[in-house]
Amino acid sequence: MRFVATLIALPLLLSPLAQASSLLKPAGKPDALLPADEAFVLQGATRKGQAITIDWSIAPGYYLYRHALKVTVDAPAGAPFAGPALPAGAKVQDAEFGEVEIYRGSLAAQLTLPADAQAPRTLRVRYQGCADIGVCYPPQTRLVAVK
Amino acid sequence: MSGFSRQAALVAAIAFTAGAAGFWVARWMPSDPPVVASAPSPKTAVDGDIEGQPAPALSLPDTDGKLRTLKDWPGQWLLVNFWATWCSPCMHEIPALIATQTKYAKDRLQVVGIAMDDPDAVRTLMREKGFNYPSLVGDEAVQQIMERFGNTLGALPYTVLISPDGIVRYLELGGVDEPKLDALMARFLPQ
Repeated sequence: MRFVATLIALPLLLSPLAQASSLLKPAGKPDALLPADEAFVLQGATRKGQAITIDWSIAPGYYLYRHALKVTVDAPAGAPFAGPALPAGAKVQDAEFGEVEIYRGSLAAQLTLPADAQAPRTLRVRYQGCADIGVCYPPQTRLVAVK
Repeated sequence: MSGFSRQAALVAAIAFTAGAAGFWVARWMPSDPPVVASAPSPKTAVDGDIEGQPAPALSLPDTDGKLRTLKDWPGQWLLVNFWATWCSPCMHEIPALIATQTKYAKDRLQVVGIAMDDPDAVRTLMREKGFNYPSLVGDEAVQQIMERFGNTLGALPYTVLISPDGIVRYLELGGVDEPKLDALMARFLPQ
């Protein structure tokens, strides 16, 4: 009798434990990787006066390389700007590339527009990063409308 | 009420109570769905269904510009390594791949690199690192090929073992080292 009752009740009582255990899985498993657009969320480009700021949100456990970040104007072609000005990144010693700068958490890159120049409407942004578990994503290129 | 009926009623009562408790716990305790809904969603990076299946066909130029396919190495075990010069973990595993090519060539193993990169950068790096195996080169085409080989996110490095009958035997996302490759060869290559 007790045995039958235990058989019935046990799975029901253990189900919350099973749910909790899935939260305890190591986050470093390759099968739990984020797609590039969720690891490195390009939030947009915003103009204020003569400055355009491009913002990223970077998921925990992922990072972007400073040296791999490039910005060009897509439209109108040839619209001038200075930059991007990038904040100092965290300096890390890469086993293959030597000292590199990386960004975690968030990144804001700033472009400066010359006075009286035609402002860019669309930027072409290229960036590349990796996950701490030891894989890297191909360079990502995105067209971003300036708002 | 007979003894059996009393037992059945008691079991039903316990089951109902446990079910209600389970419902209450599931309703009020923090659980996976709200966490997933408000956070980025990890996805399966490798579709393991390709293991045991015929390797998808591919055709890419090598560093001399000559178009190559996997059929260029008939009767060989192929260790196909997707890599790039901008990928630090890819660079890190190259010595292990070179050593594996040296050690297991007699066992009909051929390492084949597939670089998602610029051909000039690949040629230069292959010289610097002393590659003893060939590498094919491409850009977006390499990403599409990786997807067909089960790598759904395009992350590197990615290594695939294919047996001489053209069947995919093993997939590895992330870096490999010599002990891991030795273990892989011991597991799959005929002794």
